[in-house]
Amino acid sequence: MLSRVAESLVWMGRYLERADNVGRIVEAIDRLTIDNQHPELSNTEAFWEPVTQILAVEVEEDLESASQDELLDLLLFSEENRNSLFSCVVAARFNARSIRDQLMNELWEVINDLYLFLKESKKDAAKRINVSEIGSKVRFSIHCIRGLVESSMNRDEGWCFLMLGMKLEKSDQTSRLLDLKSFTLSEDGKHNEILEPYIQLAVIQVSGMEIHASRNLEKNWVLLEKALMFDLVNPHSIRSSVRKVNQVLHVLSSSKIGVFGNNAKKVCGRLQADLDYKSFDGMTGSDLHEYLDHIQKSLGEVFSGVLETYTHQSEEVFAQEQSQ
Amino acid sequence: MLFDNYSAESVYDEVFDSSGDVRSHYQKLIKRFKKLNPDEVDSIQNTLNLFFLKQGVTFTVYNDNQGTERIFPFDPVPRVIPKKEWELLEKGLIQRITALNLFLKDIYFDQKIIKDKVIPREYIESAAHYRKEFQGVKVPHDAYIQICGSDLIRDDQGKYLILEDNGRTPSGASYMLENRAAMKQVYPELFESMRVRPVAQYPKALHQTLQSLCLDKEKEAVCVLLTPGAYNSAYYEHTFLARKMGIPIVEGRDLIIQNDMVYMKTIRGLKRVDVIYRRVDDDFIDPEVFRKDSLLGVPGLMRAYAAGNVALTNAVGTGVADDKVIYAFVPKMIKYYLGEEPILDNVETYLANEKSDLSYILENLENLVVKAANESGGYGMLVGPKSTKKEVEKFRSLIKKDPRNYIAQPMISLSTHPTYCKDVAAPRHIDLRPYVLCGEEIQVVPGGLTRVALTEGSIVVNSSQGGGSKDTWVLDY
Repeated sequence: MLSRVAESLVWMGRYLERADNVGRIVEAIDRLTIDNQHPELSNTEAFWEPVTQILAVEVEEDLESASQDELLDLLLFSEENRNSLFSCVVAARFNARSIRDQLMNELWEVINDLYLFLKESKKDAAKRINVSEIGSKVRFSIHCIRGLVESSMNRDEGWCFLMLGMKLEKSDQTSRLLDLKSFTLSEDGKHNEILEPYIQLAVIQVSGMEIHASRNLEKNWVLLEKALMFDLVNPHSIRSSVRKVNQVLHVLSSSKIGVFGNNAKKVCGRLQADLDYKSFDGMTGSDLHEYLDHIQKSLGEVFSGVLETYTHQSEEVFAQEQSQ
Repeated sequence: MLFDNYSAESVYDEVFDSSGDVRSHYQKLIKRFKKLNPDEVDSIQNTLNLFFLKQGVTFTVYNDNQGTERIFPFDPVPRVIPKKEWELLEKGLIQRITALNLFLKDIYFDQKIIKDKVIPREYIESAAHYRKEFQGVKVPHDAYIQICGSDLIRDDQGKYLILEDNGRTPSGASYMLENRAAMKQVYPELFESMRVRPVAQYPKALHQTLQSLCLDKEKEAVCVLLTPGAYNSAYYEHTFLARKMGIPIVEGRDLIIQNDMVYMKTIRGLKRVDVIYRRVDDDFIDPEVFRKDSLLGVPGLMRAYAAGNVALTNAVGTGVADDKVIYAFVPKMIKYYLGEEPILDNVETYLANEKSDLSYILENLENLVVKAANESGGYGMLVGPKSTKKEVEKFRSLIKKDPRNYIAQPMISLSTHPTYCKDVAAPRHIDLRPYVLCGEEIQVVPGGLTRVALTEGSIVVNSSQGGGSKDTWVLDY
């Protein structure tokens, strides 16, 4: 497999998961803001500003004056915002197009179809933005892609790189989602009591944990954190995703678990151990933020490690490994 | 309903003869179409368009800075060629490619055709794509052009003529294949009843052609397709063909030359490459030899090529045969190398560089089609009878300034074909690009890409200038 193709697969995986997450967050927050009756805080202050922070949106102007539609446009369609829903899908499609010969036709079709849908929606955005229609389309497209990959893709190198991209991004996004609390709730705890339930609701909806209503996650932040960070039963928990990354890394380098040939595997192994053995009573405030930050940094290291090992090899390394 | 007001005027129409009757090989098709009303045809057209949109069968247009992807417009009325006609075309095309390859071998080695004064030396040496760096460089099987797209048109008497040869990187084969796949979805019963010859074997035949270029018969040849990348207008075709052949698609930056051998950069290290189907033009293929600013090529590739360590399709330097001035000499090449009369004639061509031709050209400019020797895509062209006085005068000065690089031809009224335009079938001019593969044997795909000028009266069929395509059905009888 060409190094460039491996790199495109990783990025394609990342952008697809990122698109899913952006869509879900915008959908959930959009719904919440309808209910917001806070006497002092505007929707922008309470919700949208923190969202732009966790989604790493570079905002030039002050958001205060922006209307709901302008905010939606920024997060969903803006081409200047590299992490907007549309930008992510465009990037995923571009990568898919560059490796078209490697992908199942249906996989291409679903990505292309989503792109064409968003392109049309973007044109209508000036009139109105139908958030639930867009959100639904994105969710189902990504579900379909995950299904295709899971059921029909050969477990070869291509699958490995795509998995790496998808799982690394998913764990990163889950950690950012949990961090929403850190950006929303203020140090002085002034509005926290009112805002906290909203945030929890948002996190539950975005992560798809609604079906576990019986576990009373809404009232219990600790349980929610545990479910999203450590629960092995939950396939989208950070721990489950990191485990998957670790497995794939070992498949790629065909070495035994516990044997570290490259930096990516080393960092990933350590991160997995951390998640496996952490005794968790519920972190709050800056402790939580710090821990999530640590997770994100480790994930970033794993990602650059992967690129370094499989794609950015220097010419000298190639010369040494030359085979006829 | 569709054909109620169809009138083909004074040109040769593919479907209706001069008395307005349907030619025999079209009867089944027209019978079927006559039963359709515009709504049904619209529905067929939508199904076809959707097929292409979903597959992303697009080409990129550059005239708006965004590099927009467009669907190549596809017409639902196919062009039909009966067996006897096709046999003639096939023979003619095989004869032509044989002569072209002999010509290329000759001018890059002994140059007998020049020494025997059949073609003036200065035309070869001044040809924009003549690569003197490759004088004396051997190519596998002496085959320079493995993939050729020679465009065919019909004059008002219905005679087939070769309009031009495309021996560098002819494109459109993927559209031919996708067109056929789309048509099968909408007219399955017609295919059976009309016994249309398949085209699906093209990728396999192409792959075999590529593999035949690897001189080391002990191993399975590693073939790759070299693309300029996703921003190239024909990128879809590159990925399509690579996928159908099961070969990797690479960009310049994926390859590296070591010890004059070509390798591709894989995640497990370097892998040797034997054959490159290159869709990058000579100019951009190696910054060490040709354009130094090219980022699309591979530095050192020409060293590997000259050393015989890698084969390229098509070979370097075939562009000299694409030159429209050289085109004018192809009938002479056929006589010189094969001792035969051409089965398929050229369009009558006048060379601005020849004194007697030049005066004729300048006197009759408003009635002629003038073409620059080395432009493609329908650019650098004047269609005299359809141009303004200003445009005609502009070409007059261009010709005078650089006579070597201009040719003129009488305006041929290309044949017309019923094309679905706004609820009715209307005549539009078409041409035909068949695909000829030259490996261990010469194969011509039955059919090819019929291009249609969608604008009424226009004879410019190129995709970049408002052209579309039709499926081409070669019959078994």
